Amino acid sequence: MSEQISMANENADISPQLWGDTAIDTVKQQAATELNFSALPPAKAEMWRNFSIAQLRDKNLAPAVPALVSDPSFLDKAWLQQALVLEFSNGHLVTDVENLPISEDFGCQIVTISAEDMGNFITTNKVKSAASLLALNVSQTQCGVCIEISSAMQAPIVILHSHSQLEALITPTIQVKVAANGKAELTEVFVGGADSLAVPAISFEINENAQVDYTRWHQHESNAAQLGVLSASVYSGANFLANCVTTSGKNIRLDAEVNIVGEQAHAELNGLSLVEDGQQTGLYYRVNHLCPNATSNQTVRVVANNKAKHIYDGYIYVAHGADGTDARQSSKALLLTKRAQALANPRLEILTDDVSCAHGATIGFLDEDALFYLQSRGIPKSQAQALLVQGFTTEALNSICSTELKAEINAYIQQHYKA
Amino acid sequence: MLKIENLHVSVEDKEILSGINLTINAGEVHAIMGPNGSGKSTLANVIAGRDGYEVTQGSITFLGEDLLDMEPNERAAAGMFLAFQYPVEIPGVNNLYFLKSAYNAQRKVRGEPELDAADFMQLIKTKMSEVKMDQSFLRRPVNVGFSGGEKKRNEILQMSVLEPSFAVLDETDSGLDIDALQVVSEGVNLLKNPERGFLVITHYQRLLNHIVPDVVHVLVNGKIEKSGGKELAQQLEAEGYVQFRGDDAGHSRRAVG
Repeated sequence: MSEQISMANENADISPQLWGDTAIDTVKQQAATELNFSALPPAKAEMWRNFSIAQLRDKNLAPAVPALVSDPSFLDKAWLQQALVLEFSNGHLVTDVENLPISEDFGCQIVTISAEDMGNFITTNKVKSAASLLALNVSQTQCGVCIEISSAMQAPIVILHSHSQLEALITPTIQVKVAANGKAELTEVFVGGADSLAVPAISFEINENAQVDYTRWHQHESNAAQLGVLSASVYSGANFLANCVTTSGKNIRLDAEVNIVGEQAHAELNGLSLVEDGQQTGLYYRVNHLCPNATSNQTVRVVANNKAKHIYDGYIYVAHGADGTDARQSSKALLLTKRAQALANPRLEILTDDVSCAHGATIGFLDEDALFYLQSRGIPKSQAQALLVQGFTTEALNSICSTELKAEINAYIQQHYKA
Repeated sequence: MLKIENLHVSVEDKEILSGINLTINAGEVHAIMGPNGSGKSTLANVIAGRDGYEVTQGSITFLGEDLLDMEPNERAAAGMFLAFQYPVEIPGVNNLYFLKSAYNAQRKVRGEPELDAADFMQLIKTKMSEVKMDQSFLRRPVNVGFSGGEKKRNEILQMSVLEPSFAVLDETDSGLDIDALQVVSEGVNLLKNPERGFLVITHYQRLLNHIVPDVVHVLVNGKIEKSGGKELAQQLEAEGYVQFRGDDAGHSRRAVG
């Protein structure tokens, strides 16, 4: 047994009663027990992923504490000016939920997570591929919030996760509940890293005819590690649109599982990963069609440079009786060098007859014909390459609804690939 | 302006061009006609600098410079333009951004100031009306979802914007209906002037009714077998390539590889 094993349980045992709520402590203790004496998932359980967390096991991680001084530079960005920004520092909400500037007609309220909702993370919200990570999050979390959206929100919510503590285990827990006919635009941005490990968890409950546009942007430092977990339940007529954008970070992955439980619902799990030398990123997506006549889509685009590695594992599960399902999956990876790696693993499990499922995966290099075409018009080769990569990524960002956010990500990418 | 001397070109060790000699002066329009597989597109691609073609002998001089020594973008900046037979689709890159990037990249090489977005928009609007192209095409990804005719029109738009000293039109007439052929030809004719040269590659004499050549060359099996005035094109239309290929006329070439 490694040091981290004892660390997880010691922390759970001595965990401060953060909410002064014994029910929460009981849930945390229960989660610690579920960890089965292992902080990170054992190597054997991770083999199928092709994503190495060996380096992360060697870290001697300390419990996270909030930074005394936050970095305001990020908050100056123009696209944030209209948004409600929730700032987390090393997994702790910087402003107490009671003091958040939310007016009554804003369309949502933010409260401390309840023991019941917290417990759901290790029971009903389970993400099959990352159950032990959810248990780790719940057992170690020192801050859990619930965002309750009651109607169409007046402005987007941006959750800024800033990680600055050296070698910390950062485990915020966020529950999002959207009432029937509610409408929300929510973005999570992860910055910093400081050689820490983040295991954030977020769960969505999207009720009848509600709509959620969710974007997750990993904009970490180059030494950051994150093993994130997302779950969602989508009810009748609801629409869940999720985009995971990774533009930097050392070892970044997301396990996401969506349960479609109502007819005429639609869910999208999309992804854009820009992976550089020595980095690995992974998207482990699963959409469960548990009722008839719903649709889903997974669109993943990857640009891998030098000795980078990306893994996409996309699962579509269609249950007995989920007739009329239309589920699609598309993965395209662009390799900028011969040493870059992109693995695509599309999987379908279909237990009924009347369904339409499609999947496609391509992995290739820049189109030489397109490169020549641009050069023949006077554009130098390096600029032409950058233009083609930007074209590839622009397509991937099309499903993000917010034009301001899309422009912000595009600008970041343009800078990233600037010739 | 453009001088090609004893040009031999191979693809995967198979010789495609076997000693081309061609001189085109400023203000002249030359047409190259020839059967399928005679090397017409190879010549166009070698002039533009596409990879995959090995020049085993000979030279191409453009405005006194060694063209073969330049990268494709340097050739473009020097004033060379190729209108593609099969214009490439570029998803995610809109036509306006592409055109502006190309225009400013060339100006930068020539030491001229780059045009800002507003000025460029003004320029492009004028050019689009000249080639009768709707402005909605500016926001669309380059050639994606364009019909064959729209792609060719987009080639002429690019030529019109970039104003090259010399343009090679590689089967620009293929895929065009009669009206589009007229519009595209008018676009080319608008650009004709005493300082600019053209090399028009085509299968059919029809295009040459609209873009009237000064000289017509017949390219067969990698060699220019005959040169003459515009009446040569009419003769070829009537008689085909039998006199050059004999019994082989109408046959495919031998596949490479």
